[in-house]
Amino acid sequence: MTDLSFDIKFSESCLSHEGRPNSNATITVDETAPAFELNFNSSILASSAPSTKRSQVINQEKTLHLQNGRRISLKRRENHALEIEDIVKNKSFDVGIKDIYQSMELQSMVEPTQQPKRSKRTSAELWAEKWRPRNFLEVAGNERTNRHLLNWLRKWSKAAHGEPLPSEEESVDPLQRPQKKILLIHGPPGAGKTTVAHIIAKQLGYEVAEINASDERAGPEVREKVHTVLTTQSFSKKPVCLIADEVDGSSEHGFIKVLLDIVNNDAKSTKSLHYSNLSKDKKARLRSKLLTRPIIAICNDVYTRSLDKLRAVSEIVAFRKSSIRSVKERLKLICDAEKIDISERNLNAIIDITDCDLRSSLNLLQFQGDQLQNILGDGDTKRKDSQLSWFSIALKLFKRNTKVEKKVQFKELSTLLDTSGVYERVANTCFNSLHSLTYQDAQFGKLAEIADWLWFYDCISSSIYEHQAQEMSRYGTLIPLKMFLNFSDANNTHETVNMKNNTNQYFEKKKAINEIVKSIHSNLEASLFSSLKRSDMASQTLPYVYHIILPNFKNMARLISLKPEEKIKLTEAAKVLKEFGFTIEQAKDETFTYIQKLVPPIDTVVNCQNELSHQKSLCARANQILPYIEIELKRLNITKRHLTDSEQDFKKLQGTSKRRITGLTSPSNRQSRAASLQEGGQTQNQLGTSIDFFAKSLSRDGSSGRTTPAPQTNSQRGTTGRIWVRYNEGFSNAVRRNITWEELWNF
Amino acid sequence: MSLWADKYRPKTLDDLDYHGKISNMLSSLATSGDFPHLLFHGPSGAGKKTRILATLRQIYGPNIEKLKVDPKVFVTATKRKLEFNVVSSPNHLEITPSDMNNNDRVVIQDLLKEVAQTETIDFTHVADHKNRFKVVIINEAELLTRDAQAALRRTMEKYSANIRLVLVCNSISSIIEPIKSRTLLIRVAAPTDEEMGSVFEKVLRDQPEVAKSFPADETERQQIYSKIAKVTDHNLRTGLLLLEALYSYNPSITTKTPMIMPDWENVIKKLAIGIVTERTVSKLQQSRTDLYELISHSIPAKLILKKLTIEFWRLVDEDSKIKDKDTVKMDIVQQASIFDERLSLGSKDIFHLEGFITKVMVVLEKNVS
Repeated sequence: MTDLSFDIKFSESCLSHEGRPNSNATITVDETAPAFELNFNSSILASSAPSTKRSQVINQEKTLHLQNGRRISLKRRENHALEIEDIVKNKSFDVGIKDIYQSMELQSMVEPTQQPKRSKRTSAELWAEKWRPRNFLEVAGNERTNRHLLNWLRKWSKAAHGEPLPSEEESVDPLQRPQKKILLIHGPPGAGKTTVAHIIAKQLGYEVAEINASDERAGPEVREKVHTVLTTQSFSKKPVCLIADEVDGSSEHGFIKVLLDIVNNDAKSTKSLHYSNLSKDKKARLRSKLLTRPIIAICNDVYTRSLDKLRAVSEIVAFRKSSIRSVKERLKLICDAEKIDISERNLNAIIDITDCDLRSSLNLLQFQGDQLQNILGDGDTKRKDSQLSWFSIALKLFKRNTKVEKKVQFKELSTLLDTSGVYERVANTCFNSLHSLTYQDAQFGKLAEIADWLWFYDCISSSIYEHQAQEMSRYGTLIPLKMFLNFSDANNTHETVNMKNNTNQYFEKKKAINEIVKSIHSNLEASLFSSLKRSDMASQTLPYVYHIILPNFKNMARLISLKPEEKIKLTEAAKVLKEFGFTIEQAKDETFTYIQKLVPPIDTVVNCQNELSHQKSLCARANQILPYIEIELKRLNITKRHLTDSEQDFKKLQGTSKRRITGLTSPSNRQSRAASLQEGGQTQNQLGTSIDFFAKSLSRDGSSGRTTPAPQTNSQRGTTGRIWVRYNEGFSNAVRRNITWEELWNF
Repeated sequence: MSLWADKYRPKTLDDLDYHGKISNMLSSLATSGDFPHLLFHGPSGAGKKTRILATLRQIYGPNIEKLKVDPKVFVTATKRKLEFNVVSSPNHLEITPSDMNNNDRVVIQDLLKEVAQTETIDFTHVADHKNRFKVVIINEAELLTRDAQAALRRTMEKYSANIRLVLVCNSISSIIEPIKSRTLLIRVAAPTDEEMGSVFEKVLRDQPEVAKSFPADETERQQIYSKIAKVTDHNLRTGLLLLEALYSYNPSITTKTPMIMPDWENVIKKLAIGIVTERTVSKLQQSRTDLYELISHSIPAKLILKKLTIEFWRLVDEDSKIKDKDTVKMDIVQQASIFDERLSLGSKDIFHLEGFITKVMVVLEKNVS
């Protein structure tokens, strides 16, 4: 067994050094002839066959005579083999892990020198890549979550491999897949999310297909790609596990939608496949929509908005920062392997600087390895940009630290703001909490100064937005710093700093009111539309219109006895109301009493004062007057139709001087007429029930022939002599035409 | 047409109440059969639009009153759909650039070319080749972006055979020189007290029922009229609206009847009084909410600034504690102009309005004994 393995290894290593002089064996050749390689290989193979023990080979130096007479000396480098047992000793594992470990042990027997091989690669390789864990046991930290992952992926075995599941627990899914079809891993960078996902997938016998942010992930391309990946077989006959890396980018909506569609389609087809009877081909079609391959999604921030929907359907696994201990262990291991002598203190410093980010620790170790002292002396320079949230920065701004000099604190804040890149939110928060802070100020000098600085801020932010001048953003941090200089005080706490942002609330309100104004304006008829500027509506027109449509009377309580001049006002009001397209609707206020409301709600546009008494008085007035205006409006509608009709008739009578029948018999006209009459009747009914006193006054007024519709029409008929005739109603020649009485009698 | 302002709007050049010289010029312009591009400017409510429509009526006849509103859809370069309304009659059309935000250049180019390249075929006028052109009225021309104005200048010359432009604006300061040189500038000044009074008088005379609520004495009526003129800044349209609102709101109107102020003006008044009397940080905080409230009621920030300044002036005059009133007033105006510039260049209204108030407080603080 050992012999065989050695043979393979040896020949492999020899073969591999054709292009790499720095590899296992060193060759010294004067000049290479074209025919050399083939001969050389065969000769090596021949000569290596008799050697038996590995230890012997290690220090062996070989001189070979080639067929063409040249002489080659082969020298073996020392192996820095890491014994697997060493790694394993430090950790204890569960039963599930043991199986894997055993299978790995088997593997390691076949390829015993995997580790040394790695260490002997060129130093040009990034350690972060070089020491990326190759198997499950090498992953540092997050052991519990790793096992969770393993468990989840294991549940796919039935669907993907066709293997029975080891656990006996009852699965909800008919295909015995895990309940949630997508695994969403999130955690800080450098915690090993991607690595773990890859390793586990490989360990469980999946082919990994990765789609990351470097791929085109928008629109139909990605849909196509994902479907191919999920439904086809790979060459190795292994099922594919899709790993979608870095899904929390801002432009990932398309991709996430694809994932969601897959899950939703799967849920639907699963349901209909297993809980209903379908025809065969239909079943086949549905089966193609089933998801039989695991999907793992990876992101840094699981709470970005684009992931909202995905969160709901996926199993979420949080990766925490690896513990200091595990990171240190791993680093030590690597240091030993790379033959770096590093003190415990320095190691701790590295871990501290990189905030337990294994990847960046490795980078630091590799490239600063010889200058570690510098790092310790000046930790600031190598530090990753620290990520303080905007509100903690705002808090720091106003909290004067009395222990240090102002200069020092200023510098500290300056770097903080520069690196955080959230100056905009900080500046807005500063503005919001400007008046609640405690500070010393004589004659508003500081505040006045800030007013000018805010103008500077406005300039910068508008030039960033309008001209895309991103380079301006570096000046943006000056505003918060100025705030610090002016307003920082030891007495400021998080209570005086106002984190609440109410700008939004006003912005929403403004939008709503603009919308109302717009709707009023666009409802206007053409001539009004052109004569009223929309920009002036809210400030110049509507406040007055509001008072015009809500006339005020002396005694609002007793509106029965309206004087004739007051009635004119009412009519005018109704006309204006109609012209501006307002309608009156009933609504309930907060005390659940019925109130009358104007729609669109002009009162919200007009009323600027917040005082309740003011609003209430206006509301009361509207409530009292609106019912009457409504009645007036209906009355206007009726009389207007009659008036226009009779006017037309009158004109015709004058024009022809003959008595003619007007054949105005389009059905719609008559219907609307009937409707208006009905309306009139209803109005009367309403009057009778709710406000009967008004009805009385009206019927007293009825001598003018306006309020009682039925007699009125009769009387009008009598005076104008109108007769309604149907002319070919419903036929194609149903045209309206005027005919004389003579013609009619001669029919 | 039930608002008085619309009902009594003069329809022909002969009906116009004031600015006789302008009316004469316009009518001679109209009778000559051709006219240059026009640029009407003057304060709002002075009667620019009325004069334009009256002139057009003289040229084209009553056809010009057959207005309709057409929604138009434009596709911008970024494939965004843009919808806005065009008011048009058979002989003219009207556009408002503020409807189309920053895309006005595209709209102006496309729309004008479309209009200019289709000659009007009007058989009634074929013989005398009169009125072959269509008129495009551009409202609020001062809001046209530079790009749009630049797009206009060539169009104005190239298509002058088919198209006449009438620009309407409040101030010509933001209109570029080339356009000013290509147009005939007509300034319509705001009516004087007397002119407004005569218009009001005419309106009341026409409605004897309404006139009953007003005082019978003519001098008293004139007093009311001049009061209205003052309150509304000699804006005739608002003046008529106010007159109607007064009539509608009060059972009868005397010289002592308080004017109806829009709510937002009351808020500003209160705000100004508060600032002048109490100069503290808590007052600033309070005023911020007021300012937010005003802005959210879609009152333009510049208007707020203007009204505030006027109120401050008034209050400074009345306040006995303030010494050296003239310098204080000057300082306030200077601050107002600084912040007016900031408002037009910047985008964060609330910063600058509050900044203005702070600066005014500083000015007052220095000068109060």
